[in-house]
Amino acid sequence: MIRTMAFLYGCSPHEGSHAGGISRKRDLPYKELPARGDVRRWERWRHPCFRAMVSIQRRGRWSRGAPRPRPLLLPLLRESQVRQSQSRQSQVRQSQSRQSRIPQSRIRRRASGTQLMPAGQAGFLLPVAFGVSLLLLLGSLSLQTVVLQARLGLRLQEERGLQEDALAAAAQQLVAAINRDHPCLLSLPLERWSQEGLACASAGQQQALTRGVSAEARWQLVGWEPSAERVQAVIDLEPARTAVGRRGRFVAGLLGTPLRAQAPGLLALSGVRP
Amino acid sequence: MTLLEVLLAGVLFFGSCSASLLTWSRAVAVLEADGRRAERLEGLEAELQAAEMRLRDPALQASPAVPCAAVRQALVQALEREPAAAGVVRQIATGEEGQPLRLQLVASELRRERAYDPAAFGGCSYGSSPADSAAGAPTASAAALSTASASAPSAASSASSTAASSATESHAAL
Repeated sequence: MIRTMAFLYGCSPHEGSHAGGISRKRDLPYKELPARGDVRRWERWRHPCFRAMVSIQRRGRWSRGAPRPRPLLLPLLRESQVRQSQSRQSQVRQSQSRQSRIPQSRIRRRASGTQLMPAGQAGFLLPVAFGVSLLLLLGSLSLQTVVLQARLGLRLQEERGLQEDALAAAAQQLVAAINRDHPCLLSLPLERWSQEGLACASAGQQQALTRGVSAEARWQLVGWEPSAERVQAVIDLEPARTAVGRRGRFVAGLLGTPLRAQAPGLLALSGVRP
Repeated sequence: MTLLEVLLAGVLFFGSCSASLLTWSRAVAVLEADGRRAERLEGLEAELQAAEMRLRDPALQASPAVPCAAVRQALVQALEREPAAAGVVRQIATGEEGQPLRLQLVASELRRERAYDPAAFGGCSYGSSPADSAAGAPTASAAALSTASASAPSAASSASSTAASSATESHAAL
């Protein structure tokens, strides 16, 4: 049991060698540890780890003054923290030795020779593994972020294509209706439709002409700018599935007598926030 | 350095290695799938642009006197003039009279759809009766449009002038 605890708590036989007892045996294997009942020989080691184990063996629990075993992540602590822990433990030992009337000079000498972790054996594997793992996970997460951004861009491109289709269908619907029923509106800007346009299209007809539904999205005519040979129509598409609407600027040729528009084509596409 | 530390470090290292490898493989798979999807999307866009260019042929200019059925037929012929690109399925729904012509381009799970109204190509007339067709003028216009849509782009201008003259004739007849 004690050997298992010594293994688990990281109490190496080298650590106790400075404090007296079997000090000359630097490569003492675990099987040469003192027997279970030989408590006095354990106490001669004067090492915090072994003292802790002896305390557990005697009382079955941690006593207040007994030093704690070395924590698993102690190698991650700084050297100053280790020294602070050592000084705290030496103070506890001094107070215990006052009670047991042991000379202070001897205790100091033994306490100063005690090391929690020899410098050459400071655990480097766990921090290295931790750092490498962190780097690997961070790299894979950054790659995942790049992939998600690319996918989002592709989705936006698809959505833009669908909105472009809806706007093109709206422009076809608008130009066809004007060609068919209200050709006099072709040469009038949208601002003058409500006055001069009433001659060929009532307010209700104009209302129906400037609004519609295309591909499950509502659209609205916001600009109609005729010139000598062509007309530009600006159509806003309300957002159906996304937060951003689209504004399409279409151009159609004007020709013939009577005037008629032909084949509106998309000139520019931009986003519109409602 | 105890055995417990070695074990913990090994578990941590190999766990993170396997997790990152899994993430990388999934990311690469998603990137490849997205690349194929982007290629299909670009193919659809190119096919759509080609269809739009064919519809901008001056020979397809209609007039209010031309029957919309003839314009619709000319539009269908113009759209079907060239075969669709590889991996793209082209579907044309002519619909009923008064309804727009619908062009659907499908590539796998991606779809683009455009609607074309014959009246938006310079205007046309609905409800041409058989008597009007027998009179000759709309039939001549339709024949001109059909000829224009079936002819090569170099001959488009002459076909357009033929359509315009036919429209003038139909006005005179009316």
